[in-house]
Amino acid sequence: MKIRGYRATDCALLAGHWLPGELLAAWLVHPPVLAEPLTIPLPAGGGARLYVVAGVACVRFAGLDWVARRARLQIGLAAGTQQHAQPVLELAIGVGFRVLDLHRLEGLLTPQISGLSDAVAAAGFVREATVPRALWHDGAVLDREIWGLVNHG
Amino acid sequence: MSWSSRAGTDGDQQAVLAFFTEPDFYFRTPHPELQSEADVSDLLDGARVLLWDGKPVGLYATRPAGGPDSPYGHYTLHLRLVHDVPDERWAEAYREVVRALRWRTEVVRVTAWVGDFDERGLRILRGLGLTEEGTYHDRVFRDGGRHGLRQFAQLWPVSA
Repeated sequence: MKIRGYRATDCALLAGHWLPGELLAAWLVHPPVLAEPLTIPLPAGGGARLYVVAGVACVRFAGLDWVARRARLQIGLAAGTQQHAQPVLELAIGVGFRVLDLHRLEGLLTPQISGLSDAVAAAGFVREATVPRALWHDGAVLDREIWGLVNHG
Repeated sequence: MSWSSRAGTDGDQQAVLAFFTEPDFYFRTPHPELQSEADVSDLLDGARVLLWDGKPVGLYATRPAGGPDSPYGHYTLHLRLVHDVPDERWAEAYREVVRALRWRTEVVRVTAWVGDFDERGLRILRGLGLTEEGTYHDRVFRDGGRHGLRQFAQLWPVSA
C-alpha cells in the first residue's frame, strides 16, 4: 500500500458518505437514499495538501500552518475499506512528519459513530478534549473529540 | 536511434505523470511520488520532454540564470531521466542538451543542482566532469531529515 499525489483519475475517492471534517472517516451506514455525499475540495493555494492511497482513501492536510508546523488531518476511506484504516493512517502520519516536516497533527473524531478511535489511538494520537453537542447527525446532536499527535522526533 | 525533444503536449501527459511515480525521479522535487497532477504541471514550467528513439524518457529545462538580470551566458539546467535509462545515455543526453543550447547562444556557465541523497544524479554529473562547487547545507527536507543540495557547474571561456 502506497500513498501518492492526487491525479484527476482518482476523483471518485473525493466523494463519500463521511462525517464532515472527521480525522479518520469510514462510510456512514445506511445513509438516506437521497443524501448527497460529502466532497473533499481540491487544494487551492498553500493551505491544504491532498494525497491518495489508490482505490482506498483520500488524505487531506488542511489548515496548514507553516510557522507552528501543524495541520488538521482528514482521511476519507472509500466504501468497504475500513480494514485499511490503520495502515492508511500510518501512511498519512508519515507524510505529515517525514515529508511536510509538521510538528503536530490534529483532527476531530465522533466516537458514537466512528468506531475508529482504537485505530487512531494505536497510531499514537491522544484524546485531548471533548466538544459537547458539536454535530447534528441522523436526528441527534453528538459530541465530538479533538485528537492530537505531536512529533517528538 | 536518436534523441529528440518537444514541449509537453497533451499526448505526453500520461508518460510524464508516470515519470513521477518513480521514487527517484528528482525533477525539481525531492518527493516525486507525492506530487499531485497540479503540482506536476507546476514543476513542468518551461520544461521539455526528452525522447529516445521516439519514446519519452525524461524531462529537461534550461533557462537564463537569475531571470532578466542574468549574468551574460549563465544558464541553469534541470535534467532527469527515468530509471531504465543507463548512465551513459543520461550523460549523452546532458551533452546533447548543452550542445543544443550552445548552438544558438553563447554559454559561459551551466549550473545544475543535485540533492546529496541522489546517488545517481551525483554519479552522473561527477562522471561528466562538472565542477562540484559546494553544498547548500540542509537546503532540502526529505524523508524525515534535512539534506544538502550540491551545486555543479560547467564553464566555457567567454568570447573576446
